[in-house]
Amino acid sequence: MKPELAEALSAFVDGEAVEPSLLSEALASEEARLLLLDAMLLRAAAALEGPEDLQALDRRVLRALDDAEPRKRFHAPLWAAAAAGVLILALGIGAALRLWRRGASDAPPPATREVTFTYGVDWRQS
Amino acid sequence: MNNTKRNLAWIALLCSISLNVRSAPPALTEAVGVTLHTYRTDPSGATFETSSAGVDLRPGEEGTVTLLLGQFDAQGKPEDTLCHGIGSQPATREALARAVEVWRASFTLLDATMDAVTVRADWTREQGARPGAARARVDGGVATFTLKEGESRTLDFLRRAASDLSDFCGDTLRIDAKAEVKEDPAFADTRLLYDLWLLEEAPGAAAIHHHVQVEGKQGEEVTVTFPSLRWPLPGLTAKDGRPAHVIADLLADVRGRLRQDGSIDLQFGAGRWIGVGGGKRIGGIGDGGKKTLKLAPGEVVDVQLPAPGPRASYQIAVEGTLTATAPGVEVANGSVKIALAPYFSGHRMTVRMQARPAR
Repeated sequence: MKPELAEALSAFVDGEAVEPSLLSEALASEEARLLLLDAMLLRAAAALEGPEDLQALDRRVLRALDDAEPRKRFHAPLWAAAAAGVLILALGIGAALRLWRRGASDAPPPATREVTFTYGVDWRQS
Repeated sequence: MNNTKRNLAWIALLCSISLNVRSAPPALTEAVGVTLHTYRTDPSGATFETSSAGVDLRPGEEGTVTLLLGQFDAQGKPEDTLCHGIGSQPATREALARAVEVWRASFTLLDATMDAVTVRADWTREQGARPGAARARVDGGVATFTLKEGESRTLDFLRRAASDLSDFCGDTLRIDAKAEVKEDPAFADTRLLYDLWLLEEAPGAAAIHHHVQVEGKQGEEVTVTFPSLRWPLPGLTAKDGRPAHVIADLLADVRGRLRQDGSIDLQFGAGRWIGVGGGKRIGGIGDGGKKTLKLAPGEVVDVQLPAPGPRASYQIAVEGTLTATAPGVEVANGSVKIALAPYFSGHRMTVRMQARPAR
C-alpha cells in the first residue's frame, strides 16, 4: 500500500478529517482490510478489562479467521464487503463521537474584544 | 458653541484619547540590557560571537560600555588585534594600557515597550600604537535606533590590519549593539498557557476552527502552527498527483509577560502563506504582521486578519480541467492562477486567543 494511502487510512481510524478520494482508494485494497481489522482488534483489546477477556478475544478471532480461510474463494468478496461496511460504520460512529466530544471541549469561548490588523499599517505582504 | 456641540466635541476627544491609549503598546516594567557583541569571521570558516559587554538600563537612564581587543607583543607591536576581547565597565587602567582597539559606547535608553526599545548610542573606537601610549580616535558616531526583542544593529566593522600577519583572530570583526529585556526575577518561575483558535468563516460554508494550546516561560516567544485550511479546486490535480486545493497555512508567535495586577502584556505575530498544492502547499504568497496587547485576566481577544492583498495573485502548474467555477480562479495553458482578493471575498479569518498563568 502506498504510504499516503496508509497515512490516510490511519488518520481515518484516528477520527481525523481525510481526503475522500484518498480514503476511497485506500479502502479498495486488500491491505486496507487487514489494517482496519488490526485497528478494530486493538480497539476491542483496549476496551477489555482483564487478561481472560483478551485471551477469549484472541480465541474468537483465531477461530473466525480459521473458519473464514477455507471459504475465502467463494465468500471472501461478500465477507470482505460486509466486514468493511460494519467496520467503517463503527469507526465512523466512533470518529464522529470523538470529533463531537473534541469539538465541544475545543470550541472557542466568546471573544470579549476584537482588534484588527490593517494592510500596510501593521500587516504587510512579504 | 452650544452645549450639545461642546459635549459632542468632548466625547469625540475622549474617544480619540481612549483609542490612542488602547493602541499604544504597553510600556516595559523590566530593565533592558544593552550590549556590545563582537563577531569574528575565520579565514576559511564561519562567523561566530567572541565577546560581549553590556549595561542594564531603564527608560531615561544612560550607561557606558567598554570593549577591549588585541594585545602587544614583547617588542611592543600590536598583535591579534581582533581577539582577546575583554568587556569592562569601567575599564581598568591596566586593561586599557594592554589593549590595541578600544570601543566606548554610551547608551541611553530612550523608550521601552513590548513592541520595541529605542536606544541612543554615542560610540568611539580608539587605537593604541604602543603599550600605555595615548590612543587615537579612528572611528565613531552617534546613532538612535529602534530594535524589536532579539534584533541587533551593527555599529562597526573592521578587517585585520595588513601589519597583523597572523590570521589567528580571523579576517574580519563586526561589532553589534543588541537590546534584550531582563526578565523580572519575581516572575522567574512563571509559565503562561496560551489558547489560540484559528477561525475561518466563508459564505455558504461551515465555519472551521482549529485549536492549539502552547506554554511558554515569562517573556519567552513561542510559535504555533495551525493545521492547514484547504479549499478544493474540483477537477484539478496538483504536481504530486493529488487533488489540487487552495491551501492557507498560518503560523503565530506569542510572547507574554504576567504583571502584578494579573494582566498579561502580549506580543502577537502572525504569518500567513496562501498557495495551491495537493498533499501540501507548494510555494505561495506570504503576508503577516505583529501587534502588542494588554489582556485583562480572563479576557478573550479576537485578532482579525486582513483579507489577502488586493493585487496578490498566485500561479502554479496543474493538470485537468476545473469542473466548478470559483471567483478569481483561471485555468489556462496547464496552470491555475488564483487572484486572492476575489477568491477570499467574504471570508473572515480570525485568531481568537486567551492567555493565563499555567497551573
